Amino acid sequence: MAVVSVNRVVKSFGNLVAVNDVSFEIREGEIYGLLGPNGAGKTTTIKVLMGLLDPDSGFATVFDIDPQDDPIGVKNLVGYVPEEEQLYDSLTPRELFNFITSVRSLSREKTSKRVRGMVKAFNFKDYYDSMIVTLSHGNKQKTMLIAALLHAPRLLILDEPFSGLDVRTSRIMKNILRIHTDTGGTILLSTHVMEVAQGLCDRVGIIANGVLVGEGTLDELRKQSQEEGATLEEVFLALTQQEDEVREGVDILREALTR
Amino acid sequence: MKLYERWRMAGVIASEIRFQGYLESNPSNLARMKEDPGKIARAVKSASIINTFLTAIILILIAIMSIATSVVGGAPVYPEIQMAIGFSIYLLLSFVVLFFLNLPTTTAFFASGVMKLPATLPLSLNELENLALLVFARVFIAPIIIIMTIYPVACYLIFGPIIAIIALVACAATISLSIGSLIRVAKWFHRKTHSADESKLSIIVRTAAMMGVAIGMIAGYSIVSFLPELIQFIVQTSTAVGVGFLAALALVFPFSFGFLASAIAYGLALPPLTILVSAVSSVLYLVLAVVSYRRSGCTLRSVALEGISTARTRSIKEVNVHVMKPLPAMIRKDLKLASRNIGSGIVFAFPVLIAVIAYPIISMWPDGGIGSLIALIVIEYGNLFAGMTIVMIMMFDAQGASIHESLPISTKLTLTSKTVIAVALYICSMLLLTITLGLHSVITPLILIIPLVQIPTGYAIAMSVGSAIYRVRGGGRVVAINLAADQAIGLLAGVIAALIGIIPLVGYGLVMIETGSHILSLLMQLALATLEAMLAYRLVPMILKD
Repeated sequence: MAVVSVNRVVKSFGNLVAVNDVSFEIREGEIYGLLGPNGAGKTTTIKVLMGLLDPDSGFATVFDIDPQDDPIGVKNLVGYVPEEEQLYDSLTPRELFNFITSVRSLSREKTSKRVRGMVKAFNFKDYYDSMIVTLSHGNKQKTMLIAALLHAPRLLILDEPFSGLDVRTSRIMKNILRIHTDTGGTILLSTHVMEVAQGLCDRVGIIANGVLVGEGTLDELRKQSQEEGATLEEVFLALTQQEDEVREGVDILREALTR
Repeated sequence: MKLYERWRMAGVIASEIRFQGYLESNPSNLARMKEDPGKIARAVKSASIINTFLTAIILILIAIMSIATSVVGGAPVYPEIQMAIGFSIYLLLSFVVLFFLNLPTTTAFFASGVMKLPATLPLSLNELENLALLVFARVFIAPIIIIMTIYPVACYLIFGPIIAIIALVACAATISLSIGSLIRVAKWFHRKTHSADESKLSIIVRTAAMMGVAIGMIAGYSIVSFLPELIQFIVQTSTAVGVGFLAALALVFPFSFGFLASAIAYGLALPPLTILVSAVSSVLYLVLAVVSYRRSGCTLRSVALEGISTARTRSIKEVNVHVMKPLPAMIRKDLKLASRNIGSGIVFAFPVLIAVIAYPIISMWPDGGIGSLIALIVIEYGNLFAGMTIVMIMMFDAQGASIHESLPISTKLTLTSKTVIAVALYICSMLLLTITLGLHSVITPLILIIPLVQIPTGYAIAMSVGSAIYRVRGGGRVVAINLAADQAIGLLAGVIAALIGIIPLVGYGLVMIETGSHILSLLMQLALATLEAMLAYRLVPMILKD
């Protein structure tokens, strides 16, 4: 069953076509990686799924709900960690979680137990009553992750969730994602870290300049890119046609940094 | 490093402080920054110029009013007292203006960590400390120059060189004491607003400080309107109570300097005890100012380079969540956000500001009692502010965009939560207008009911302005807005609020012209206000989108 379905979605901002005729599906219980260079259209696609942007044409569904028609219904089922970290800086994590739990009308007992578990796992207790503005980037990231997991969502949409996490939390996070899918949950993971995508994702979609240039398992992508035995990073660079740019950039830097 | 280079570097850092201060005052800019950084940068620049210009205008007005009162004030029988009071009021208001207008910038100086980058450069600790002082000096340079030139020059021209020198020294002492207080209060304020101590006492202190700051800022801007009355009041009290009162007043800063200057200008016209007390007190305050200057330097250096600890010292409470209904949860969240930010918290002082604006308008009305027209005029001022109020409350949300995007919150719920706060403030405004009107002689007590009958319009204004902004800027969805960088929104809010707010008032006026009956006019006003509220309740959700 397709948990997420994106059908020929087009979204433009003025003359810029951010997402151009993109289609893909995410199946129940899988971790789907959405990869692409900066400005490729990943976040725009995710915002369409969350009902934050209306597509110019095409449509998307999440659990058969069209986010354009019922964004609140989608948000009830999804835990979303956006790439940009714009939290309520003046609140503490406790106050923020109180707010989210209230808005989502969650059970006090169940959520408290859930929060206690996550706070302990993330070693976050010392920061629970500190104002968010005073937290490090990694601890803000933990705050967003806990906030996204509070309601035990069936689908997690994570936009760069590993950015700024320490090794311990990163490892715990990866295990949480596995536990989530083992218990029937589904994950859409947007990341720049190829090692993470290669290690975690069941399938990936590679997007460049708003177009889906490749999709499938690592083996399928290797065939598409004609890169036998290549890593996901090499496949990614081949499919997004960035290999020459990378070589040129390194050459320029080498010359600039040589004394 | 040469002084010129340090001065130039301090200028770059001072610009960054203004930038951070602007963001601190307008939280939604944080969210809008990436969207249109050029626009924000331009807004920061114009805000800085406007701030300097306003400060200059305020200080010049204060100087003119003080000099005018010193020379040709309302009690010519006691010119020595007039001069002392005029002199002192200038110092007092310079203190207030310098303090309140620069509190957000100074808080930003501590919060922004602007000295962290220079600390990575090959500069000695001593050079870094001096750089921090220079940066602070550059932030304050414009008001300091204005304070230290206008009044002393005027004194030189009117009273001669000795009084001018005393004025110069008194101004320098005032600046030192004001900046010293500012640094300490900003440090305390930053600690209070950036630590999450949730004890009841702490919340009360924080809220009171916020209100004090907000009202102080308003008073700083608006006190010029009341200056003649204020000086007249002090002159009358001084003359009524007698010599002891003058001596006691001469003991208090900044009256010590005022009486000292007056004593030199008018000789023994003042009682010898007052002259003695003012001379001794002036020397003491001068010493205090020097000490304050030195300590301020130390505090500034340590804060700029080491920061302020906002770490909790309490024991860690149990990890759990507290659940309430979504609407009160959203209101509570907004109130918490507002209580921790000067720029947001100022909205809670709007009712006081409306009363402060209304008071001189009502007082200017000719004798014979306040009629309904003046009440209608001041209520329309309140309506304009109601439009601004809902915009400022809508700005609270911008800093939590990541959270808001992921939560199942309908646009209607968001707007309703903002409207509840806006209506509460509107009720306060109308109550304060009733009290302000009640302080004057009214032709009939029914005049006092006009602001109260207007209350349902507060709901209509908030809902209509909010929905119009969501429609115009977000296609009907919740959108981050910023009054400072998007002046068109302010204009839109003002126009809608004024139009909606005036309808019940016009209804009152027309019935009054037609019948001459206050009761019938009030009934018409009530009917129109209630109808507006009902229409807003029914129609506004139709133009919103989730």
